[in-house]
Amino acid sequence: MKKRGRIDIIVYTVSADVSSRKRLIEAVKEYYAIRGIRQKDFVVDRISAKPKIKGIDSLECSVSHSGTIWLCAFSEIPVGIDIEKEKEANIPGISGRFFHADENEWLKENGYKDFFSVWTAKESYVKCLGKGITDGFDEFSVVDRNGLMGNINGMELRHIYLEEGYRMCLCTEKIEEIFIHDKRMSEKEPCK
Amino acid sequence: MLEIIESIIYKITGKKNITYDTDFIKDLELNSFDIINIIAAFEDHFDVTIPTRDVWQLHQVNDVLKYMAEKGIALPESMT
Repeated sequence: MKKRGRIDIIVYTVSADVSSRKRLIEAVKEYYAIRGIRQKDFVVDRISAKPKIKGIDSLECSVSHSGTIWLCAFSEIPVGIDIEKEKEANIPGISGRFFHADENEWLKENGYKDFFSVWTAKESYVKCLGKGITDGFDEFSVVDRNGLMGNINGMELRHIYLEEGYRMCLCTEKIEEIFIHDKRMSEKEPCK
Repeated sequence: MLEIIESIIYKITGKKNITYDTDFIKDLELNSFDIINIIAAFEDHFDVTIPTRDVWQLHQVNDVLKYMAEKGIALPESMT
């Protein structure tokens, strides 16, 4: 029985031999197997902030990859997910340039230690809205005086720990259950 | 010029074998943060600011070169 607000996150290892499109096809099949749903014919029409899967109307998904991790969140309602490996970058410069003033101020006060949490929260939010990072990226804030916010404009923001050295955030209208299916240990050969 | 762009991309992402036609997303499979990180590095190197709305028009290395030429952004002499 499907349930609104249920999110399934399928995790794979990034592989040079497997494109994001192939991974998404594999992930959709995996999702159907997990949910016990008879597989329908589908075509991955577009890989973007909001992947388009033709043939399955009720399936919403969001893809993200960073470092060695590739993952996809599936739901019946619009969803956005983002993962980032914490890496070397001009953090103060990017924060000052692309983030809201409140976020930048808060990060500065905290030594930028949660920079990637702010990034993933913002990106998961715009992905959920079906947008990319546009001029409006610095016009909304995912922090307030108490720190990282748990919701924004009626959408939930859920920071999830997956692995040391990574930050991940999920955004959707309503989160009831989150299931993480980590396929990395069971991967034997990359799909061709 | 290509060598400079390649060295910036390599420093940021560890990706090599860049050509003029290399697409940042399709070929290098970079994510949004990687691209922003590269753009920030370009800006530092060339001492310019690329408006956010223009960032997402730069799909390929060629686009970066054309953009810089259109905007009259010249490389510092030490880089030519």
